[in-house]
Amino acid sequence: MGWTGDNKLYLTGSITSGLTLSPTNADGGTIPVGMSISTYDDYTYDDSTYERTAIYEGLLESSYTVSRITWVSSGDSNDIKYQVNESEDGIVFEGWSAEADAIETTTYKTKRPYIKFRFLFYSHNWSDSDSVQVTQVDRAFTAYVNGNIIDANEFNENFYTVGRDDLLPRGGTDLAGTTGVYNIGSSAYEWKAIHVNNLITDDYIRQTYNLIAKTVLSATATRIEFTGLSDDQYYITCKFIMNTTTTTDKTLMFFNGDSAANYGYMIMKSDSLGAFFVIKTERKTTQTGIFIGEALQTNTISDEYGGLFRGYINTHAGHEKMVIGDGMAGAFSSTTTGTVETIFSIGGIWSNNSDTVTSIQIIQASKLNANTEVKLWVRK
Amino acid sequence: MTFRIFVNSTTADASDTNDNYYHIGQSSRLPMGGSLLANTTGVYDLGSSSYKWEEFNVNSCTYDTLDANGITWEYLTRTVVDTAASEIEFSGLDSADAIEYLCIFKFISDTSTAAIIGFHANDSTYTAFAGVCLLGTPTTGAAYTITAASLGNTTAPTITSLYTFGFLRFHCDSNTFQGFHFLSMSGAGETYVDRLGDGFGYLSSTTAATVTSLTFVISSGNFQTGTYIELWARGA
Repeated sequence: MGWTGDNKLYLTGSITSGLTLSPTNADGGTIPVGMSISTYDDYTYDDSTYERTAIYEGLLESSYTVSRITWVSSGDSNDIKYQVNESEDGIVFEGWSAEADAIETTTYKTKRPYIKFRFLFYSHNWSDSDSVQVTQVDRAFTAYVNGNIIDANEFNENFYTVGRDDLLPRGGTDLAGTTGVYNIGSSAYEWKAIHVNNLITDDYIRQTYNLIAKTVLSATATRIEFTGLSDDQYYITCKFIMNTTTTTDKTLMFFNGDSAANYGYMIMKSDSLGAFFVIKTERKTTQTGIFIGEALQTNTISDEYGGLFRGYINTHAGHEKMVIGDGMAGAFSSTTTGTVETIFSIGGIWSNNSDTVTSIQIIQASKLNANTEVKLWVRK
Repeated sequence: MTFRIFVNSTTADASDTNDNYYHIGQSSRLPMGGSLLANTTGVYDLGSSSYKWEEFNVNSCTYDTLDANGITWEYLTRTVVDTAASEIEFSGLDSADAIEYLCIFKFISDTSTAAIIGFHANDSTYTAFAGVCLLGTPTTGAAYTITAASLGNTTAPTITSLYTFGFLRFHCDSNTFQGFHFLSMSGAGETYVDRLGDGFGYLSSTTAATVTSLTFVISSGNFQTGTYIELWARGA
């Protein structure tokens, strides 16, 4: 099963990933035999309205006896129309059907194994974002009616629809595939085990850490913030790229926008370069945040300064809010050898064990450069 | 809708036929059993170890246990102390199924007693160990050889509760030495952090290779109410 013989006139993309207008006819499509076509340049303004401007033509060979072709489209009503031309053997075709609105119609059902499809674009301007994409070709379900003779193929195909091949969520009386509505099992009726090669999920997976937020800076900033939080434990991973105008500013984490001197931390870090690092410890009380990184740039030949940090954040209600983690800071270069200037472990605390943590802020007074990346994970 | 059982020589109603299809294939897919295809729970599988589905595409995935075959960390359980106790034990473990355990903990000790918190495996069978910890204190940092499998050291009973927060990763692959890494902080509330420990070590045993339990102990006093440990595993 698949599409062959694609002819994309003033269109680009593919029928399965999406077709959009191409004023330059980028894919070299040709005018189908027996058809005429006008482009915007052929007429003065207004005259071109509702003229065909682009055409897709292709052949779908289906392995299903009764097939349903599903597509998604965008545009105003009748901006895109479709025609079909069906065949039993792929040689003799029945002739093209009348044009029908492909915007309002999104499925087509057939009993033929060979179907030529045309999508005809009547877009008003080259800049229109009208598009069409065939998203699914699957079996079609036939609902029976009392007093009618049942076709054996339809009878078989109905069983195949519910029991064979990919198991899809289906709804309605035609058992059409749908998305985001139905469940596999329920809280009352659980399956015992699921055996799959690949688990693909958009939202979350229970019983493991899930990425719930990710910030990648596109421009320099002094703050990264995650809001709307309510969980009791997080894991955070950070890649900081520092602006280099100031060399000693600390990167700090604080909670709920509280940047007052309500934090303490202990840091254990390597203090200087040499054959062996010297380990030093420092305890800080009444701080305005918890240390999670710093800007160091003693290596001035490097072109990037930054570091990494990872840690667990305890935000359980009724407990002290704490951070435990480790990281490094250094100077990095794509053209010469950089330096890791320090590695460190930290434990930090917010002197507030009553409030629920609803937001986490990370600040760096010297600014964080573009491509700084912070990810927040939580167990669901 | 209920499932209709057809009978020989009896005219079938088209809507009954359609409803049977809808019963099986429409809306949520629930496990079914018996001649009436009634919903049931905890009996049937989707796929099998021999016949697996290729992909499972969902918006969210909820279940009681996750067996990810080592692909990701699996949350096993969380213990919260509701009555003061001198030790916390996770039993029923099988290191043949988990080559690494992760414990995320917050220990709360007696407010009047400084204590060392440690762990052992298999009811003290795994007691021989060696390790080095980088220990931070308010005035100095030092590396020292740990004399117990210590995860934290609650000290300075000057303010309120004494706590230790951190994590332990325990590699218990039975084919090699069983090493661990922990990172923990201990303190006494407000903005005071009194200890920071970053240690590596290993447990060893001459009698058993499979870890079946992990036990957390405190050298003085008890684990107080509110102490919690999350146990995670990463499979082989």
